[in-house]
Amino acid sequence: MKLSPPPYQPKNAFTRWLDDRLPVIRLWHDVMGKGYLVPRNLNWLWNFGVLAGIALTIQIITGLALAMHYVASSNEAFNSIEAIMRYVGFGWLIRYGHMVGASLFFAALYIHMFRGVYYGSYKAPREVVWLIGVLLFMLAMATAFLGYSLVWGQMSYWAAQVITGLFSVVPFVGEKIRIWVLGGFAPNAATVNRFFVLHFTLPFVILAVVGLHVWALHRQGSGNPTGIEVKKAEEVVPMQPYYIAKDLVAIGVFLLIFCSLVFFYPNIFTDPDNYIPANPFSTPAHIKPEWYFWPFYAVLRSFTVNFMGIPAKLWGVLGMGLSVLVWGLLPWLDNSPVRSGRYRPVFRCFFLLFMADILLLGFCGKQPAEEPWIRLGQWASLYYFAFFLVILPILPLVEKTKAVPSSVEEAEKKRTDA
Amino acid sequence: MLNLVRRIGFIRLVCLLAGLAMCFVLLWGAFQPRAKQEIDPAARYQKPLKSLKLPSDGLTGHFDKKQLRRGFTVFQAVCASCHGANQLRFQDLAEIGYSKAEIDGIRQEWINRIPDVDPNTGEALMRQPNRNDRITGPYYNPLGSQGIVTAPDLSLITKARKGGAAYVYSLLTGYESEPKEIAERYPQLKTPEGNFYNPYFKGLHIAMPVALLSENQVNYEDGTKASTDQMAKDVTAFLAWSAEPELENRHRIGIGVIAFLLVATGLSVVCCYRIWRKL
Ligand code: HEM
Repeated sequence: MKLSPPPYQPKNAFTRWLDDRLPVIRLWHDVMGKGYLVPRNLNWLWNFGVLAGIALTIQIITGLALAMHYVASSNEAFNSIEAIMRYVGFGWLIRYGHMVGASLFFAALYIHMFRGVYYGSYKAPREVVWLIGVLLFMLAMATAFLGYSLVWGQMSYWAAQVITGLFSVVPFVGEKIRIWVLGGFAPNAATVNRFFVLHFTLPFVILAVVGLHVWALHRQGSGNPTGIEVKKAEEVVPMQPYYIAKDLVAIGVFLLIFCSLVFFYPNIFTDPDNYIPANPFSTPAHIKPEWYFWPFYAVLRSFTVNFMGIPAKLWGVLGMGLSVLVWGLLPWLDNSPVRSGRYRPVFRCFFLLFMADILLLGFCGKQPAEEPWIRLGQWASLYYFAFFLVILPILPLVEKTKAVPSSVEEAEKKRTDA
Repeated sequence: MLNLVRRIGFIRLVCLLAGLAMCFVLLWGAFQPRAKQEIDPAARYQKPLKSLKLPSDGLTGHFDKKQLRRGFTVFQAVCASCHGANQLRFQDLAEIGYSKAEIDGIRQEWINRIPDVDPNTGEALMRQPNRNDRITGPYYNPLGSQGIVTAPDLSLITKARKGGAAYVYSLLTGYESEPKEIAERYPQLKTPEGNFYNPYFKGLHIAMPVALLSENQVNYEDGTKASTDQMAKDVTAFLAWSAEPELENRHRIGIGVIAFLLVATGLSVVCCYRIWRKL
């Protein structure tokens, strides 16, 4: 059952006039105002969607400013970024803001996604919200990779080399595809140019897809930590002022973290090698991506043997692709009728293990391609796939869940009593 | 069995099989024997960095302009015969206290000439660098190194190496004679002809000879005694500045921004609390 929120009522002649012609204030009212009813029991994990949106906004604003000075050419790219930092007014702020912002965007996204897994946010009726989310995640990864390449430092260059090299695993035409993507045999002037065009465009695609994400969400309304759908008017509050106020606190804390990093530790997430200009003749001892790709990089490197006629490298690419795509399968992998991890004690254990596993994978992805990290990465990848593709489908058949209260109100009352 | 299939459902069964296949491939890989890994013997002789304190350290640190000038003196007299600092322009030296006249003196004597065209005759010529030309080294090539190993540019070096300024300082003061043990136990580690033993450099052998050789190798105009350690510290401080000239400014503004955000966030907490309390 959907609760009916108070409809928008224009208060004066102008807003009435405008509402008849272009109902933007009504849109605001329905999406962010008193017209959107939100469960009142959301915890702070429900603020990370908005934080991801804030991070996206920071990226677009700082990105536009950077693009006004950046020179997309293999000879000038690196120097133009240094020049921005030195000779453009507050250029260092713009550049470091964009750099740190990318990391915090992913941090917010990861927390947002893990929230979704733990509380079963992906389940009916919000599968489409989830699917669009996974699409956003993939778009964000593509954008981040392209942007990192634009710096044209050593790591940029060799990351571009490695990632585009993955295309060459496609049988027969792989090498052709790789050359087509790069516009040459190795990353070159044409590559910088096309990566810049794509990196400039994708964030606006992301912005549009975020619109779809929120639209789909509002069709059903937000879920909540109990996983029980709200039924009564007492269980919800209007977005304005309750969640607007709460979001503002979250944004404040987020900006505090963001600014502490930008002003005091701007290079904390980057590899020192990327302050060396790209040099096609010298391969860095240890090529690694930015931290938010480490778990997936570890999965890629975990496939070390040719198997069933498929070469190890192709297995690696398939495995890495699948490790992203499985997120999109979640609504169909887990068909437990109980939504929230709060009432699924066995699931909760496997979930905690899964979080630890992702950290371990990330750690392995960071290390050089040596033992014991490769083997450790193989075990960690194994649990990663097992969690999604084996444990989640089987769990509902064997798990004894806790009794789910009949309403959100009752559930929250039990929690405060306990 | 059929019952189980029915209970799991077709889609989940397909996913389950795919998942088991993935796990099997990974297991197969995990139990493959590994090629024996050679532990790089050089790692045993690599030394942890010396600690270095610079006036610009910490959130409220400041660049010591006198020291930066001394550092540039060392850079100009010693390092510049091989290295450049090409993210800097000559005019940037004004920021560390050089006057216009001094900068003109420096650029006119600089080791590099800039390829240009004579505006009257159209002939190619090599001219003195202008104030807004990059401070390049003798091996500068705007098209990159093209595969030739040359002395790296130093303007970003403290950001481009793990350990930053401490690394540069350790390296400059870290030359030693090769331990006898190496020749006996690891003949393959013997320092090659034309290289030098330095346990702070990755791989132990560096092509750069000892740069800071002796006391008073440079003349400090402010009367500071130019010991090798002092010169190393000063030039490192200069390079830290050249990599992050905005550092002081960034920290100062940052403290203001954080203070503002603390207040603003505090207000939003109060606001949020008062709104929710009414429920
Ligand atoms: C650009 C990236 C994204 C932005 C800006 C964004 C934004 C939002 C916002 C504002 C909300 C409502 C508030 C909240 O529940 O936190 C939301 C909800 C949601 N998002 Fe995202 N999101 C993004 C990416 C993702 C990703 C990658 C996923 C999952 C793979 C995802 C899954 C969900 C789900 C399932 C909900 C509904 C949660 C519920 O109502 O219980 N989103 N998103």
